[in-house]
Amino acid sequence: MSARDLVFEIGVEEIPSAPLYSAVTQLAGLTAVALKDARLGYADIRVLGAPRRLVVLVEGLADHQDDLDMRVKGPAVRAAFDANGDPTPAVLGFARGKGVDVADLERGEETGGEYVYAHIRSAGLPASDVLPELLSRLAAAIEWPKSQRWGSGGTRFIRPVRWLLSLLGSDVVPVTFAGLTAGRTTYGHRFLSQGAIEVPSASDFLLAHQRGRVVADGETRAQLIREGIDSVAVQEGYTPVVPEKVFAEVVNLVEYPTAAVAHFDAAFLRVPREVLETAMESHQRYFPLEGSEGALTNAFIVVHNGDPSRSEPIVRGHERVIRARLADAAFFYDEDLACGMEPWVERLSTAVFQEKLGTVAAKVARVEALTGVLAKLHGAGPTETAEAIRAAHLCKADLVSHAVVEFPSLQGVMGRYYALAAGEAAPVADAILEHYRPRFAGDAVPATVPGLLVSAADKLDTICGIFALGQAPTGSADPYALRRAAIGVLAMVLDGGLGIRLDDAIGAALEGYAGVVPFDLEATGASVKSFFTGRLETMLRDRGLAYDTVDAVLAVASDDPADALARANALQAARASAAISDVAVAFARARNLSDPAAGKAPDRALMGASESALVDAIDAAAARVDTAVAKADYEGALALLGGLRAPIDAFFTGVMVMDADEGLRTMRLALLNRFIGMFDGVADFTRLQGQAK
Amino acid sequence: MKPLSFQDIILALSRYWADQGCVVLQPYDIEVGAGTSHPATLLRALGPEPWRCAYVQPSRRPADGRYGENPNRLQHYYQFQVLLKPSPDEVLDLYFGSLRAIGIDPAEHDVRLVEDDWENPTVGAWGLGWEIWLNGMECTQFTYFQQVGGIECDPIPAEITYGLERLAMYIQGVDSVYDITWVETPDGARTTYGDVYLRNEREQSAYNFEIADTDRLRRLFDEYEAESRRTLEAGAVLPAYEKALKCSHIFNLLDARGAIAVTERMTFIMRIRTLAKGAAEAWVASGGARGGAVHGAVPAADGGVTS
Repeated sequence: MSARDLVFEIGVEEIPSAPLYSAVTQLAGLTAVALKDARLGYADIRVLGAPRRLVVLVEGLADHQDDLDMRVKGPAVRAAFDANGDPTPAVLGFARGKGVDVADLERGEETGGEYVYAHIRSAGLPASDVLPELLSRLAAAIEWPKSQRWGSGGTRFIRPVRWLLSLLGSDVVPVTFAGLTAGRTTYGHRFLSQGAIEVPSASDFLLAHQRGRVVADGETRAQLIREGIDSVAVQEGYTPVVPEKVFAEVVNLVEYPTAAVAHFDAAFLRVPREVLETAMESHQRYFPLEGSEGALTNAFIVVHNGDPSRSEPIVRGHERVIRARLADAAFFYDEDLACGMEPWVERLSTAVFQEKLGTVAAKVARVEALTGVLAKLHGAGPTETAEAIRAAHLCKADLVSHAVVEFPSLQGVMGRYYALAAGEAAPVADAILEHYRPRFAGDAVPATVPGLLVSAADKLDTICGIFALGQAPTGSADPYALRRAAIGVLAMVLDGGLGIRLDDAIGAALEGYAGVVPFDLEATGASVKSFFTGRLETMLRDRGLAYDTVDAVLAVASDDPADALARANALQAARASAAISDVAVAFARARNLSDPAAGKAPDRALMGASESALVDAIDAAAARVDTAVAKADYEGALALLGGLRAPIDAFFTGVMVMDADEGLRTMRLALLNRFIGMFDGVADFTRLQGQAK
Repeated sequence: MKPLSFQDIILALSRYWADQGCVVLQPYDIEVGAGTSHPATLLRALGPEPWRCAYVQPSRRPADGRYGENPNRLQHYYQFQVLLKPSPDEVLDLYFGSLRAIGIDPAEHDVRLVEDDWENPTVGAWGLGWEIWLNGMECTQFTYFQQVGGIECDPIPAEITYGLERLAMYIQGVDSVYDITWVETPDGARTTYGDVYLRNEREQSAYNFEIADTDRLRRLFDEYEAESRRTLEAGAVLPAYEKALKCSHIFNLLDARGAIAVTERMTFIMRIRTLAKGAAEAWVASGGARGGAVHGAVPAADGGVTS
């Protein structure tokens, strides 16, 4: 069967970057499905996307659909015809649905009876008959995050569609969409190409784009831009700073990229680097350049969409723009420095933390108090404590500074600079910066004790406040990012050395809301605790610990997350040993039989040999287990517990616990209670899978 | 060629858009936060009648004042506003033509259209579009309105808003807004933007941040609100809308003054919203531009509330 190439171009006004990436991906899938459904064979599908166009290229598209030849099973014959042999509504409906006459239905035997079959055969149509409709549906099938109408039309698309081109070989495929009919006309770069470009055939299409100075393929543009950036950087002897997000957006902001170096007045380098970078990246999508020492230079890279031969005046234009931006930023920075932080702390009373929970100023007061409590729990020294409380006092001040109002992403960063400038101790300044960490999963936790304390206080305050309001996260709804906050607190405990227990910390945080909102202290505390425990469970599992290990450990205690981690690690390691898994079986058995009413003081006078051996073994191990647990030497504790394997096994083999004699029974149960009690500080072994219940 | 003066830019844009069939209007005589609030844009965006207009509109953003000390920020600046309903197929080409009319050939520059969708919940309005970058400078806001006052636009208008001071600074190559040449006479006498507006920026900033009597402004807000309601009940939509704009400006003044407590902020915004939406709905209900004998025509405000 002969084949030709197909090209379908949707000419659009400038498509935003993220939806453009998405549309390219969608179109590749949609095209493959549509061609398969249409029984049109092809060699390859490529989808290209640039700001003003989406292009589907199909290589080697079959000229004809494959013929259709299939048998579809219908109702049973006895249900298909009535007593008179007339067709029933069931079979009439089936035939109609398949586009076959009842008379043409075939019959066939199958296990369970005789059925009617529709034999559908149709000769494949020429691709040119099928494509107009197929391509039109393709265009309509793209899903956009937001879409619009334009002019007087009713079509919705990401931006107005302005032309359609569709060629099968050298023939136009007259696709209609959005009130337009496809032809053989494309348009090049909006400014670097003049007027319409006629395309003789599908195979000439990319050549036409080349003439029109358009690089329609996003990957090619990305490569060109990367090469451009690198070559400019090499030429300047600098290293480019290329955040992935900015880069990806720039790729979809140009149809014909050119990278060029530009400069700003070196005097601006006195402004903090983060301010300069943010001004360049988030506002202008420039790429800063670093010198050999890693310091920012006054050179940067512009990737523009203009005429490469006019790079110089274009760069001069960009330099004027960044000069104004940086002058503005420097102006803010100087004003901020002149103001100092204390007036900002006061002004926080005009900023909302949460509508029902009051102002940021009120939050800061709570966080200050809570920081003091956490410092005590952690056992921080007097200097660290004072620094932490001071940092808590100042931690949100920069939110009302000019610089952060202008660049919200610099919260904390500017606070640190301003604190240093105001003569605050370096640890105070660092804690202001660090208290936002960890900002996302895997982000570094604060490196300093004051940073840990303020960060934990801030996050606990938010979590407890929102819980007190009764707005705990549900399902995917977590508008205050409380899960992230809780994970942050736990990460600080597990990895940052923050020494707090959850109950104490939660209780103290909730106390801060007394009188702010009405809530039940106990119930709210319990639900916050279980919220934390849930996160802790996930985090421990994410660290490769078996779910039942985690379960067993948390069932005993979850108040001290770091301790739970240590126990889980020790238990996970110990589970490999036969002694522990045997002891676990015995533990489960003991636990099943146990009756707390029997007490923990078995009467030695009644004991036989196996009972005495067990109680002796327990007595011998008890103090050592306690000591090991107290030192958090869970490996040691587990080894000691493993040592009980022989006496407990001998006990179960040698005696019947539920003896008819009440005295004996009570003694044995009390003995088991003692045995069970040995595990209290480590884990609930019944939760380990693979153990008898 | 000598770059265009500030007033020549305005004149050239007015001429250009007049040639495209626009009704060239003069600024609306009520304080607004953006040219969109002019009834010729906001209300005329609704309804089936074709409509093309262009005008300069001073924008008042009290909190943006800097006492004339910042070269880029003003509490009073100019927008050049164009509305084309329905949006013509060649609307972007028309826009780029307007840049040529003020001496900017897009082919010689780096021109990019960067996604920037517009929304003003206060008047139930939104649209999709771009900010247009000229060598990295945002010089124009371009929006296809989709809804105003919670009502679907049909047909869809295109709104073009130029930042005149920025364009002028760019065209004239000056780094401070106050150095813009407003006009230069043939004998070389030059009047700058600073000559015209510097004192105004200083005094208005002082008023907005220090002098404004917040108790009186609060009373004024209440009075205008009551008057807007009463007027709307009496069936006069446009006058009711104007009073809503007054409330919006007074709110912005109070806000600049730091007089809006956190807890009352949302209440203020809702009060303005109620007035503005009410007017927009009444405008449509009463037949829009060709509306009834008693009812004028006017909808809601955009950008009137800075936050």
